[in-house]
Amino acid sequence: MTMRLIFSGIAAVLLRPWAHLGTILGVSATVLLCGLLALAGIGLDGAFARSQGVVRFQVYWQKGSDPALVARQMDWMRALPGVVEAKAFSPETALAVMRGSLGANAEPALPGGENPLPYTMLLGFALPGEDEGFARETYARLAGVDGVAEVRYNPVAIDAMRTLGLLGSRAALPLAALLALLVGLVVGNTVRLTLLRRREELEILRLVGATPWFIGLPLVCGAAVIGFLGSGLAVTLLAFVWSEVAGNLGAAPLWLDMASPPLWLWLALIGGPTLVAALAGLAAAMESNA
Amino acid sequence: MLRVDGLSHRFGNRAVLSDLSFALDKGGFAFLTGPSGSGKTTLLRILHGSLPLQTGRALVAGHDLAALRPSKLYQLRRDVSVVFQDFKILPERTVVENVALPLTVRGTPKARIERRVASILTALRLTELAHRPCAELAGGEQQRVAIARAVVAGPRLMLADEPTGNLDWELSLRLLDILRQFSAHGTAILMATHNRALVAAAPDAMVITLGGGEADPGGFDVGQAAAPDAAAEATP
Ligand SMILES: Nc1ncnc2c1ncn2[C@@H]1O[C@H](COP(=O)(O)OP(=O)(O)OP(=O)(O)O)[C@@H](O)[C@H]1O
Ligand SMILES: [Mg+2]
Repeated sequence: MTMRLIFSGIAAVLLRPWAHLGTILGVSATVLLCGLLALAGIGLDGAFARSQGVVRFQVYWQKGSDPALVARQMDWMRALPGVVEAKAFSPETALAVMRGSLGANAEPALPGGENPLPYTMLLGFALPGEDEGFARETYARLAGVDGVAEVRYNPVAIDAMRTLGLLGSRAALPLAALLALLVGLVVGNTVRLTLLRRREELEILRLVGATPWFIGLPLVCGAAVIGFLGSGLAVTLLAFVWSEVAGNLGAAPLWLDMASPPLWLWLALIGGPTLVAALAGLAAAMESNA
Repeated sequence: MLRVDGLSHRFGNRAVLSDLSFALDKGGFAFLTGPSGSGKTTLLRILHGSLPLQTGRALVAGHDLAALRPSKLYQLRRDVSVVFQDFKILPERTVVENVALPLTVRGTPKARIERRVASILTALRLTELAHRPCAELAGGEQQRVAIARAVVAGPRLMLADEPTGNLDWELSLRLLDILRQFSAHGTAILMATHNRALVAAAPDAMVITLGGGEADPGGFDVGQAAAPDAAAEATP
């Protein structure tokens, strides 16, 4: 009996998905929005925790620099005080990395068969305290090296991202509450509409002795299915967005190494809305019983 | 089975039922008569838990209406069935589905439902219509569907509101016969009707007459006239 009621509630949604498409998409949009913020918060926070206090400089040499000189200059840079991380790229290794990231088919055009890429080096310095002066001095020092064409460093961009990350993690609780509220409203209203449409039928069921359980359970299950489909769709999209974004943040100029979001986040983004939707269905069913 | 003591009901400041008392035993059969607007439907709705009990006491199939909690209302409705004046059947569902409804909500096994529904449909000559949507049926046919639904689960008490309102005389008599058979099998029946001839056709039945005060001009004391040995507003 209970199983039959559960199935009838699930079937009511699955057999007529178009009737519920609006609600499902509404849930999706809500979960997507909150999920994006949560991902930003959790992902960036983690990335900053790991790169705490490290300022990264990327040094570009002029084209056609003397390899022997560059090699000596690189050794000198590695030996600078405070260096915790150094990655050197010759034009050849840089080209190989580029080929790798572009895929085998995309051959970068080499004018006259010449490699257009310069020598580059990525340097990470441990920041002594919150010393802005250190970063500027180091910048001047690196830029002053003979044959160096350009030095990039990223405190401004990092600060902006750090703020975003902090915002995301601080907003986590209010965000979850907002998510619950929105999903509850969207699904609750749909269930209420369903009840309105079936008012006569439900009244007759009650007149012939249906329990509140008999009437409520299919509604609750149907609402849960709506919540599950909506959040499932959103999480699928989020996972896709994540894989795109994480790749881009892991490269210049930010070099943020984003660990994939924890499993519990994905589960919460699906389970939470499903649960809230079921509760909204229950509330609507109880309201109509009174 | 059914005991009403000093029951009164008012809508706003308009008294519809006043100080009504009667009792109906297991398997008993009673007519409820009175002019239009005298409160027949109102009484049946109170007894079925669709209207709150305002004054007095009512013991319906073992349920004390004054103490009945809303969450237990379904128990009353499983013991007490109703044939509504406006049928209250689901037009887009078939005859079989409508008649099976009280058993479906109880979770009765499918095979039992099929057997039970088939025998009721035969008794009410609805077998031919079994798989037609109710919206396609004539008024009298819909009324018989409503009656079939009210008896299918073997209630302890059945309340019928004008169950012959859409039936011709012959069918009305047949229906009366069927209802009396049900009552003989232990279901108490309280049947509201305008039809004097029908009341006269069951002279041994109890008659409860409502609405002296606001009756139609011309009077309407069918109960006593047709069934001199039955007591109006009686407590047997
Ligand atoms: N919900 C309500 N609110 C206010 N007045 C009502 C309500 N329901 C019924 N009434 C009034 O109560 C009186 C009794 O109505 P009821 O339907 O019980 O009469 P009845 O005896 O069943 O009549 P009929 O024989 O025509 O079916 C009527 O005057 C009606 O207008
Ligand atoms: Mg009436």
